[in-house]
Amino acid sequence: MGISAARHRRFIALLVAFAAAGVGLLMAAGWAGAFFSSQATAQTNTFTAGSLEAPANAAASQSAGTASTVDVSWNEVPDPGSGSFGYYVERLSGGTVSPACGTSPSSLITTTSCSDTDVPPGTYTYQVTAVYASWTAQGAATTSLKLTAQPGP
Amino acid sequence: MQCSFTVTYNGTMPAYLGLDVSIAGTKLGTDPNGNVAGSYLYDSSPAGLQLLIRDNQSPQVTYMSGTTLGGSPTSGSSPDSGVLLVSTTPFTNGNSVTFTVDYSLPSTTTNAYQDASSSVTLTADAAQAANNGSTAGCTPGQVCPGITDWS
Repeated sequence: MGISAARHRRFIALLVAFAAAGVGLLMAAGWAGAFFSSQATAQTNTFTAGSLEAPANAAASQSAGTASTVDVSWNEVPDPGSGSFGYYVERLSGGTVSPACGTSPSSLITTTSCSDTDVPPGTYTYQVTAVYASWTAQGAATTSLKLTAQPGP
Repeated sequence: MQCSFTVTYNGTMPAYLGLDVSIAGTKLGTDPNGNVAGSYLYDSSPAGLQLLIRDNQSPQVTYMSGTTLGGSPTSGSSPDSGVLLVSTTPFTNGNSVTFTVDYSLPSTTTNAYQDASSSVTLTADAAQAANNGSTAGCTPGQVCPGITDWS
């Protein structure tokens, strides 16, 4: 892959002592035998990629206004830089994982809360995943929330 | 992103210059989801660190492009180029050359590279042009078999 074609993604690079210009090759001035050779001081540059934090303190509660709506919130994750960034939310019940809040890995939201509507009665936990370009970081699931059927009007 | 390294030849005898590129993994990445093993930032794969090392000569010499170093694909996380010839023309006192390093992490990189590190070390070498082999048939940016006594 050519560098010019590669899409640069923002990542933190620590540049250590590499920009020091003008390193000279100091040679003996006189003729000291059949040949000479010399080695300049090496310059080392360390590259470090950033990382994506997982959403912490996710919480889910039944909405006060609607019995079939669950409000989910979590702590903000620092945006690592330019590029696509956001969250998607999943609803877990037993071994079943369902998309929640209208989100998915390809349909992210950038807020730190959402409402999951039209949730059928049952017991659920919620999980929030941060996405930055091709990186993901999944937070811990919320505590269980039990939704019970409400009598109609 | 780019960084640079300028070398000035201060010897009195004409000399060939060489550049050694050495890469080393310094920290394995950490997948926050725990699904994949960590990788060093440079691992010779299209998903890891990509480097472009060139100089300011005319015509410009490329020493490394992506994961190709000295004209050959690298393997593993710690490749070393050996001494790559800078020019078939000897340098004289006061001549300078600036090497630049461009770097990128492809957007297709994976979680295995999060928080990973690698270091790149450039070392300039010189060897007196006279009485020291030949650059005939050599290509700048690649190892020159005719010069074996760099340092």
